Amino acid sequence: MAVGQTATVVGLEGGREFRNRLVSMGMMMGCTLRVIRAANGSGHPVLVALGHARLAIGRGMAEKVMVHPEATARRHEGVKVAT
Amino acid sequence: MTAQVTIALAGNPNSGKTTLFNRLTGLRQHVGNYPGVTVEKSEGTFTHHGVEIRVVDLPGTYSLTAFSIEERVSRRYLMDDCPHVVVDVVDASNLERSLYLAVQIMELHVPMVLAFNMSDVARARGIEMDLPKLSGLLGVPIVATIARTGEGMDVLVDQALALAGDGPAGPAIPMAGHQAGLETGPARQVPYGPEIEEEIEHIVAALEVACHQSPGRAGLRWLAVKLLEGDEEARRFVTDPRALAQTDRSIRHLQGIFGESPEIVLAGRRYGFISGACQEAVRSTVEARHTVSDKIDAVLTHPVVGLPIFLAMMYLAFQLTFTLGRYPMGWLERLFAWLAGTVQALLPTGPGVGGALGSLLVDGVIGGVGGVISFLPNILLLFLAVAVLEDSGYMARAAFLMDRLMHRIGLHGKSFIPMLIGFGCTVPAIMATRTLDSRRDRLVTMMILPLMSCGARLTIYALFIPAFFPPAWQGPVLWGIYLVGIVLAIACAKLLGKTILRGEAPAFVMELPLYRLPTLRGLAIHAWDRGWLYLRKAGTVILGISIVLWALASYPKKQVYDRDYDAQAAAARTTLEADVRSMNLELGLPAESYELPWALRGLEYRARHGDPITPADRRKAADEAQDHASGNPASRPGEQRAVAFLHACAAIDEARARFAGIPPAQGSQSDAQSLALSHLRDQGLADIARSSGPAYPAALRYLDEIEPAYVGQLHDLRNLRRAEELSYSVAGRIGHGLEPALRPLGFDWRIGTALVGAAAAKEVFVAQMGIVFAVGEGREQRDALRSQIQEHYTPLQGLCVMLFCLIGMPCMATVAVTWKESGGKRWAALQLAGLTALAYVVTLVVYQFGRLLT
Repeated sequence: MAVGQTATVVGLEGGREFRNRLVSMGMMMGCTLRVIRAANGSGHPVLVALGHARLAIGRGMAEKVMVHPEATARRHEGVKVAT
Repeated sequence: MTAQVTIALAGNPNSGKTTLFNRLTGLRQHVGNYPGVTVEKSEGTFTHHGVEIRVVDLPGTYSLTAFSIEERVSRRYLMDDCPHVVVDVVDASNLERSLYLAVQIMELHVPMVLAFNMSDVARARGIEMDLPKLSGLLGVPIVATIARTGEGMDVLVDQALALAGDGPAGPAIPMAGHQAGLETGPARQVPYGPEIEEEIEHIVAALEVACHQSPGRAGLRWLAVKLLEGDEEARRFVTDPRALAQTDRSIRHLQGIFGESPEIVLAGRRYGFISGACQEAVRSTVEARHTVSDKIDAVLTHPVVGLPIFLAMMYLAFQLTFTLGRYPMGWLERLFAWLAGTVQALLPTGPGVGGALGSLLVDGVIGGVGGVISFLPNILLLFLAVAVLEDSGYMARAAFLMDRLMHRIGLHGKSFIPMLIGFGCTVPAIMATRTLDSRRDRLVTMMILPLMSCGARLTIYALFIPAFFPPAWQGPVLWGIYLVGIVLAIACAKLLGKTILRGEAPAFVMELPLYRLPTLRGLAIHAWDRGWLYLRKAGTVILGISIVLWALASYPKKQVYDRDYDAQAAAARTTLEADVRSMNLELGLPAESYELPWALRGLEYRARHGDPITPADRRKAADEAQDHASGNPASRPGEQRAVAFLHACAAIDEARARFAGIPPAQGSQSDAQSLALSHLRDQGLADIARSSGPAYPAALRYLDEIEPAYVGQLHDLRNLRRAEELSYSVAGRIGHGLEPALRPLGFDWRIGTALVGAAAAKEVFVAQMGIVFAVGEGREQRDALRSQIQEHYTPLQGLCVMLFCLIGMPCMATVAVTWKESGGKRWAALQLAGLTALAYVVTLVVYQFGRLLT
């Protein structure tokens, strides 16, 4: 995803612990996030805005957050936050 | 009348919980650990309207699952320790997520007050809250607070006390004289929806049939919810197989309905409940997107621009700590040296119980306490710097930047900061690992931290590198040694991560809190906490070990020496007396006259005790002799001449001290100033010569030949004696005993003995080498020691010593801090044994290969 893009979380993959952690930090299915800093293959974590909170998510982790971008009208399930 | 009420503080990380805690308790707090785990437990007390209140600051968590140790600790505390009331600190600017924790605490049936903290920030962000309405919807009292300014604190405590009064576990507290607070209904239950509620009922029924005990006051419903979530602790708690079978059935059933594991569905329902309440009572008027924090982050978290800023910040923190810290450290060292000297002078010396006691007190206790305290300025300053980084919110950004690098060695971005501090001193670096959230990361970081070559080890390199390497090579060799440490640290981190500290690569999900200006109060409390913790926990261990090491280096005492040092010292004194008598003739006195030796006795005493003789000492001796002579009406010419002689000595010494470092006025001096100074000095000396008459040449001979010869002889004897004593002591015997094991590394017993000393602190290695080589342990003897080392060892051996000191045997302060911080002797033992074994292997390989090559 590109910087500044907004998307809705549609699924969380990965282990139970990881998913619980994301959920407890407010990242639930249906919530909207905005990418502030993208990984762009650099290996850096992804920085997203979730409401007023700013979350840094490790690159490997971000690949497990499924979203569909809001900007594109068509449903686009399975887009990862980090690509 | 006072009654003890316990308030537990819960809340998300960065919700201002700690600020609120500090605001409530001030300095009346202490930090401990929860039993059995290494999670910090901060407690404090304060009095409110005559009621004594204990506050327990729970670890900051987002949830109360059983996944992280902090969450388990918080949950267990709330359930088992029955605080009278919980104050959940809610970040009002981040409402829904903060309430997620609040809802879970609510489900535990603990009386709770919500502190809507940072309500000013929320207002600034255009969030309008109808608190009474929200309070009614959630069924808990809400108080708006601003912890940074202290706003709302009184109301918050009133409210908490009111609740504690009616709380199920609370004692009756006299409430007369203040308001009872908001009227709220009973705490609401999260409605999980018919399908889930049905399954909850099934499980509760199964638990009731089994007459299962209820987990504290939380009740069976809570237990059933946790079982549905697959909570491991809840499963362990439930012993009834039928209830567990029902649980598994329910989970499968719900999974089938929702196509998602129940815990996620349950979380969704909680969020649903929260957002339902928020929709009615909270309005966000402005969609604030680009806040100031985001603008700062655009620069500071930038992968290219952010990095140099980060490095500059680290450099600044490092410099602040180790440059500013050097002054108080020096003062403290001088204070303890002075204390040791004063105590030494008061106590009897020599053999016998008195001497042993004095040595224990001076070298063991004062030395040990001094060693502990002299770390303190660095620790305080360092944690001040760390507190600034943390409280401002920058630490999370630093971790963000460093994560890519640290991730490669299986560590969290935050590990970078302790590792950097490790180049200054390992002890505060290990304490700084407290900023790491995961225990696994903390342990890995602690284990490898001693490989970051600390400042004390630099003294060893500074001794060996110039002894063996030409100037052009010195820099690269030093750099190479540091690099070896870093490479080994990376290798060890990877190895540990793949073996005993296996665990999934840390899930890097971290909140970047808002940038905030740290409060002075918060910083001071933070730094003081750490300093006190260090003194109390590590200090006692360090003191104990330093006394043991003192005993190792002092006992057993040698009864019969290889040489008769006393006789040799007496012989030196006889020579001195003969020389002084020969000066009698030069001064025109009879050879046997006693005045001169009498007048010099004070200086001789100083020399005999190894004390330096300063120009001031000479002036004092001269003045005393003069007083004696002038007080005596029948003063003889002998006394007059002795006085003149002493004054001449003092004058010459003073002139030399004043013009120290000025070369003689000879040859071509380009520097006009130094030429002028040397002329001035020569003129001064000429004046002294003119006014002193025959005393002048005698004084010169005494200062330049007689006294230095005597002092030098005594000095050598003392050093030889100390070398013999050390070699005879347990430390020396260990050194000798280790020689067969150390020989493959190229080490002899001297290095072995010095390594025993290095266990106390790395810089002791150099001092011990000085003693075993009988050149003395002071700084002035470094050159003498260096030439001894050059004579006895090859460059390869020198390199091996440096490698061994770099890798092996972390100093006892490090081991003590690791022990206390890791919460177990095991980890400290592993660190000590593991690193020493690694050092042995590396040094062995280097030495044996090196020998083949040379």
